[in-house]
Amino acid sequence: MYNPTIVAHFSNPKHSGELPNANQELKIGNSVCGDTVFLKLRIVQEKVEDAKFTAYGCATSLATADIFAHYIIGKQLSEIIATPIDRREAMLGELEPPQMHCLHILHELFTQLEQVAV
Amino acid sequence: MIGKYFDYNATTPLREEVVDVLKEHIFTFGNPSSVHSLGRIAKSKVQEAKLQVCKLIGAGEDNQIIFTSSGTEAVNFALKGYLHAFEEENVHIITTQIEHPATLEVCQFYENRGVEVTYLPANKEGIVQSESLEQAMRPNTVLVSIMMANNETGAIQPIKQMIQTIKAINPHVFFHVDAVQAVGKIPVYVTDLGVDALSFSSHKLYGPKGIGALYMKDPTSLQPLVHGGGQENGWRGGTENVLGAIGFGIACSLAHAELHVQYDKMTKLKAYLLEKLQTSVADFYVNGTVDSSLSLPGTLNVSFAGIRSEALAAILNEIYGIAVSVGSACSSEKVKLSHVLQALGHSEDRIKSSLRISFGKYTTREDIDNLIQSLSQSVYTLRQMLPQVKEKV
Repeated sequence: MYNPTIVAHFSNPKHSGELPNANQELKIGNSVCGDTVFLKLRIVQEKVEDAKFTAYGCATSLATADIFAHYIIGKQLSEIIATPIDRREAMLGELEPPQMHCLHILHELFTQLEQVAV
Repeated sequence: MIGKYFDYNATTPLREEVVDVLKEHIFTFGNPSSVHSLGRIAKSKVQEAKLQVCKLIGAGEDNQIIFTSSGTEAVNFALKGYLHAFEEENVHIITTQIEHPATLEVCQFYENRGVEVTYLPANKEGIVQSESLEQAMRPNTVLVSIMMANNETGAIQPIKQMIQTIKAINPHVFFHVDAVQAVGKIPVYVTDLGVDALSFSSHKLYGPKGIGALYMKDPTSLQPLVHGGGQENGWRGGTENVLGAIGFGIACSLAHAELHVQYDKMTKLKAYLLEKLQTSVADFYVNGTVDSSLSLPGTLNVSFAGIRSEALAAILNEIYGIAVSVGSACSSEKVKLSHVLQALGHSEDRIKSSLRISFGKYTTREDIDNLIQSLSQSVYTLRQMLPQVKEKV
């Protein structure tokens, strides 16, 4: 039902919680499932130093937030934005049809980060 | 493993005694329609099973029971078998908003063909009121189909009172009861209730899957759903599921023998589960009723404020190996919400956070303790992830 990547991230998220010294925030609301993801970022000199999420959502939504946070921490914004689409989608592993809406959440996170970088 | 299973309303494990009997009869392969001795042995086994099934529901003659492939087929048989006589007529049927899809889909099938259908509401406790049934009656009402106990909330409907109400208005109205979740868990006696037809299923009471049954007070009132070789006295074509019938029969026999013992055990376990929940988990709400006389003793539907039960069930399953059921799930285009909890008037957030815990004869207090511990930890984990203020984005 859930692939191993999704299971690993929702059952033991490494990047959930508050980030007191955050200087950016991404907010995602998914019209399909009503899930919400708030991702707080600490960006210094175009580099993501830390990221923490809070969320209300299904298991795959929670995992998506954690996977994205894990991916961007320590990277330059330019490097994150340059991530090809197929690599972005591969981050979540194989999804079942009911979980596909989480790809929208993932893409939206990338899109909002691109806007931060501009 | 079985101690971590809390989805008995979905299906039950085969009980060991049933497994033993099935093994014993695994080579009983004769066709009950054959006249030779192998056929006669198979036929006698099916007849014996029918008597065992009859005994559990207090049915008199064994030819009032028809074996089907499932509870769903039994419901289809009852409704379509009765409505067949009213083709081209302007008739009205009554059911409820909280029925299983087996009933709702059949009603919608007829509604699309011009039959008038009333879907009765339930109150906050999940109970359909007899008064609303009385008010829904029309001169052209020919059929009423209402479930005995709801699969999601466990709410037990006042079937006997409903039947008395209906029959006092019009004794010719056919009353079918979907008792799939009730038979084997609470006393269900067809003659005492006064039902015209009653459906139930083997795998909900520790028997094998692939077999259900329809009780008919007067078999001549129905047309067959499956035509064929004259099996089941002509009421259902198709070679009988002999092994399934044997397993179903022994499961019914055992359920009958220990009905009250199991009822008492489940009632105590449910009280214990509620007590432990109240001391271990904050902010939860019971969906349906906790009144033990109005709900199945092995079913508890609860919502944990602020979290999505789909995520909760996933953590329980993946980390703790615990199996439960949820009231909403993501689909490709939307979140599917439980139609039952919607009928009770609950909010979308409450339905999205609803979890059904259903347990049975193999569940112990230690299993409940383990469930509570896992549940408490999982709810805490998910609430820690919640935004401080849940704002809409």
